[in-house]
Amino acid sequence: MRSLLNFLIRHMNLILFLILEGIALVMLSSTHNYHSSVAADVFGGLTTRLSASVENVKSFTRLRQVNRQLAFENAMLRQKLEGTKRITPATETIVNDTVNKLYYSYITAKVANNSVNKQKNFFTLDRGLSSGVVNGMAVVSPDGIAGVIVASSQNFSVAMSVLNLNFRQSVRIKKNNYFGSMSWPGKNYMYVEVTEIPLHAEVAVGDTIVTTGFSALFPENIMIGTVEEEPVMGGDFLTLKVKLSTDMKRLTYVYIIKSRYKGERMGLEAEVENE
Amino acid sequence: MNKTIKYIILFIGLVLLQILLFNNIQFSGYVNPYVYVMFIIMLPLGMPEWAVLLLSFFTGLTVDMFCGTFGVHTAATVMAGFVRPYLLSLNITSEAINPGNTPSVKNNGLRWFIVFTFSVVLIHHLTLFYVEVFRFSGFFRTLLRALLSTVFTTFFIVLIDLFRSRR
Repeated sequence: MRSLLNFLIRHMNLILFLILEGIALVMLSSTHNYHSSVAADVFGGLTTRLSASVENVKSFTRLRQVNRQLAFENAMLRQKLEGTKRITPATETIVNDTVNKLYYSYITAKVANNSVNKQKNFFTLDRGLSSGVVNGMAVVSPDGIAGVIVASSQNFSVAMSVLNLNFRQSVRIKKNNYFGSMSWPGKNYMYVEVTEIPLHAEVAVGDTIVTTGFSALFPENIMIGTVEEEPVMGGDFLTLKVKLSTDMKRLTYVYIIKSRYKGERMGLEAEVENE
Repeated sequence: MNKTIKYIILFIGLVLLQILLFNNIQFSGYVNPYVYVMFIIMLPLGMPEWAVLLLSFFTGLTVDMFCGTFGVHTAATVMAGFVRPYLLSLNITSEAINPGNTPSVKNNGLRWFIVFTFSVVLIHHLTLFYVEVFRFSGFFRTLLRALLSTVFTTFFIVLIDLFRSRR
């Protein structure tokens, strides 16, 4: 007993070190994806408010660019509006039942905190459960893909950024519909990688890459980016380096996309998988 | 000024500097300086090891809270606090160093301070970057990130120390 006590006293520092390191690792593994959101609740939103005010200053410096982006988007929407006006009288048989056909609805949100310099990046949005934001909703910027909601508290939600080693999305080459899988290799915040494109697919530099509707998270045809370099052959597949159309470093206003039939669809798919 | 108050001010200053300034600067994907480690470096020389460990733990926990990365910084700072005494005993040269002194360029000389800072920061950054990624694929890229960031963090810490002692 005495020698045990002596041993403990002699190695007190090592034991203390192991205990503290152990606590850190347990914290790390138990609160992995939703840590930011938990922090927002536990610490009374103090930390989130602080980073939100930093983000506020940063977003002020980006106003010019955001304005240009919004003006551009307005122009595009206006164009679509004009288009429907001209077509409708000619094809009167089309009943434009927007209520039943509405597949996705959009919630606007502002980025409260963002990072691009880690290997697993997340960003915080200023909308949460009270605005109807729940896990698994897609997040897009006016320019294209941005992330997926992984946690939400009352007034905030945290999205896994495209720039996260764990992010995967099914994508296709717009011109010929060959599909593959998109992920971020963790190097540069401007580029992602598309793998599993078949060898015989014709790909040229500058080709557009968009989402497929396979995942039930993202609507089809959300812009990912354009092919930056000649494809590289890896195994039986091609690997493409794709320049993201969204500038993740300047992410300010985003849309959270709510898929109305996601539950029904995933339930059906899960049923078949269980067979 | 009372030493404890001095350290509290240093702690708050470094954490704010880290969150408000350094977390928002991105030199490239490879360089993320974490200057708050300076707090662990600056602790008094004769401080008992257990106290260094607890303070390191607390520092990491605070930064984790603000960065929204639970455990990552804590794991790294506890590691840094643990190796600090060993690095000190390696680095201390023939001249006796007064226990209770704060390590600084003024007290210990530029070369000693740079070597000591660099070694503590290196251990901290290696732990931090590998724990953050939590995988060994891309081993050398993580290593490069840690090394480059260590160089920059050391540079900033020496700069802050010089600025501090000039006043």
